[in-house]
Amino acid sequence: MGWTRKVLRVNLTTGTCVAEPLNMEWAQDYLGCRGLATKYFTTEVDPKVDPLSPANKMLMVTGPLTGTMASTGGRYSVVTKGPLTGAIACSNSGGYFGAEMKFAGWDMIIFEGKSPKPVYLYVENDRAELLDAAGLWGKSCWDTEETIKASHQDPQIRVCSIGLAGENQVLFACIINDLHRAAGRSGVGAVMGSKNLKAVAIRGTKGFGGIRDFPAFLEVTNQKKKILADNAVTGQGLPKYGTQVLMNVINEMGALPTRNHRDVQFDQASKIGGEAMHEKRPTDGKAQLVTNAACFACTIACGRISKIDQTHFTVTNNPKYWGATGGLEYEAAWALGAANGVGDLEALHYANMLCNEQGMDPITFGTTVGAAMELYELGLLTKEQIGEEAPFGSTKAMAHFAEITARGEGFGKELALGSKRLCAKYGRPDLSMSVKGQEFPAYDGRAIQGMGLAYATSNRGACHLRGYTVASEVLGIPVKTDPHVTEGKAELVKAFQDATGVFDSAGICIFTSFAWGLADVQPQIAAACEGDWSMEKLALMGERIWNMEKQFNLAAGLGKKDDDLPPRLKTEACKTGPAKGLVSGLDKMLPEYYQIRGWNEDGVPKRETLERLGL
Amino acid sequence: MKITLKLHANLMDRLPPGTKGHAVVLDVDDGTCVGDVLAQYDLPPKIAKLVLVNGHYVAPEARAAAPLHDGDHLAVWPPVAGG
Amino acid sequence: MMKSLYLDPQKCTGCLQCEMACAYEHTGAFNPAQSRIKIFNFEHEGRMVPYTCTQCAEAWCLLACPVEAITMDAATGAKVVHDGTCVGCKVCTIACPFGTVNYVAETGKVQKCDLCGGDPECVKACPTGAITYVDADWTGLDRMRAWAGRANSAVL
Repeated sequence: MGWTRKVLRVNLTTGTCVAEPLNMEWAQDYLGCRGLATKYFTTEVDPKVDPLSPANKMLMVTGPLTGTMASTGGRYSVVTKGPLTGAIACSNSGGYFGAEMKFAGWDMIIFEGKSPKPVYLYVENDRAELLDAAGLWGKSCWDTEETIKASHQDPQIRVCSIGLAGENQVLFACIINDLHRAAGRSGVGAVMGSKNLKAVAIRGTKGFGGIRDFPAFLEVTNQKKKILADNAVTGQGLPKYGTQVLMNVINEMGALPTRNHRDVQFDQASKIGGEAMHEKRPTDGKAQLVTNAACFACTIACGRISKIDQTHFTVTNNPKYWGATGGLEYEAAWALGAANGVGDLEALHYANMLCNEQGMDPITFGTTVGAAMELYELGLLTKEQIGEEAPFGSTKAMAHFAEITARGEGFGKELALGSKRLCAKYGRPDLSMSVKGQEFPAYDGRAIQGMGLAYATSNRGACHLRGYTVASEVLGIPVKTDPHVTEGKAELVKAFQDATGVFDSAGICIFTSFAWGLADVQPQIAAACEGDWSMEKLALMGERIWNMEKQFNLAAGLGKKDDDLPPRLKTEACKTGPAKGLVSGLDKMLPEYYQIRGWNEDGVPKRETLERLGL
Repeated sequence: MKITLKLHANLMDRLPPGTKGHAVVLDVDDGTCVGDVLAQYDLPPKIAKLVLVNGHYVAPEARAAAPLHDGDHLAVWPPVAGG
Repeated sequence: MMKSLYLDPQKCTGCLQCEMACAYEHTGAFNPAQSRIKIFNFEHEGRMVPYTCTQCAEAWCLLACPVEAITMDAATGAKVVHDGTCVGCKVCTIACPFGTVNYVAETGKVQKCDLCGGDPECVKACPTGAITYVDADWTGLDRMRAWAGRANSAVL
């Protein structure tokens, strides 16, 4: 109960698809999604594997609450070794694809090897086969989904796919599902492309009836839905403004990384935030935002659906981009905009569309552009090399880069490396605003000290989702802490990281954590799943998952030196705003963090910690 | 003294119609506190979840006695979050 | 009082909780593939639209059925399929102009919205009020009110 108990193992080298039973012992220790797939992955794959080689595996996985009436019960994760980072990669996505996998009767799909020629996996309940993707290779994610549905004559198929970025193994290529949802970071799309796997198409008509106690489950999930509805963030703020409401908040408090982290405030922030998406444009009298949207089972509905200004230079001659489509989130608007000094909201939406269309992580793409712009301004990259002028603030350059990077055209081939390799190539590795090769998201680690620690210690490279202490340090959820101090941050970061592991393994969306605590998730899991799912067990599980990921990274060759921040964050103080004069206090926080994690001073989990966690 | 009041997200509706963006410049008496301005616009802590003066956080219990100075930016948000 | 489902696309977010609730009520599992109400995503227009049986007064499906397997529930006005009588000929699915009665290959019967006997589950499951169960004689009331609001302000 809680799982379908079936795993599909797809060997792309031999072209076989075989069903196997789910390891229920592991399901009891790791639940689903991130935890469960990471257990399988770290057991089966050599940590030293080349991420883009056939020996790497890619797991697509659901959680017990995926495909149920629990609010936000629609998530799935992709677990692999990330080509961008050389570390464990776990990318989570919403939309409808994950639920469909569950309805077809599968908890997880494991991809091994490499297909000799492009294929896509077609799953229809128990039936699974690899089909020729010659007619799909070269198509965008959007065209791929459309073509698959048309060729199978079934509009109800759900699809995840890679676009040109994944095919060209752009190191930050992502996997797009349902047109504008993504397993976004660490280059999971490049792994899929390296396996010649173009898409996964699923049709599930079995449904999911494996709930331990239906009446109890429906009662508790209804109670928890009410909490989401009554909470001002999940019930009003997120549906109306989306995550983009944060642009002005983070700018006001001087934590908005601007122009490759040279600054922490952007004078055009209000032009590219959530409120701006509601403003009527002078050209057509319409707002960019059309409406909000939900993922499967989600009662929050934070998704943006937007329409570009048809007269904008990027699309005047391109009607295919005029329709409504997935709109800007905070991270994308920041990375494409403030990180590059670009304040043109329509241009940001255009670039974001291209990221969805061809499957690229807008965070890494946008910030890589920022690194390129700094290299350009320093004269280390020339107009001849790039093909155009690319100073900070150049809307044209940013938009053009979005067009050429997925395709691997011209300078796009270099941008496709991500900022770490790009900056190293041009002699300034210190200018890559990243940790373990993955670029920072939209909160400056100097102005929000806990996030600096969270970035340095995140197992998948710089990431805001692994331990979103912004909730506490900025928003006061659950309680307010001071973003400018280092005291207490080690404990705060560990608490967020461990709790997040539970949310990430259940099949629900992390945004429920703005209104729910672990105590709200636990009874929903307990009603759905067989086994004893107490708060203690879940709390321990979160910590176990974190340590399991850390062990993999250590064996992959990442150590204390990689739990670090770029020099800019440690030595160049914030120039303006409330955090003026601050640098990251990582050197104060990291030793304490290692200590409370039960790790030695090199960040290696001690034996007693591993034993306590059953690792 | 003059202060700039910025009301964000759905709090923008409380600004005078025709306000550009979400900021108004207010003329207030010397010694006016954050709490006084919030009360004027009917912004109790439940609604005004995040209050920043020049980007610095002002806790709900501190608002009544937090003085404003000439040129200050008082920014207010309802409960918000993101990713 | 007769009630009918009122579907408001403007409020629909595409969460599909209604599809799960409907399927659970009728089959005991979370299974949108067995839902009698379906959500349609008009992607390029940015609209999500719920649709289901409108419980026609002179129902094509009822009239077309050769074995009288579809009858009207007098209490709710719903046109209900009796599985025991239905032979799976699918003539009703051809007769319905709206496509809201469909065959179920697994059972050999057809399925359609039956208003859950007067307490529709989709209504209870919808988080945004895009599906409501209102006086069947006044489904246009909200729209009238919206336009009445304009008339009122014009006078002032």
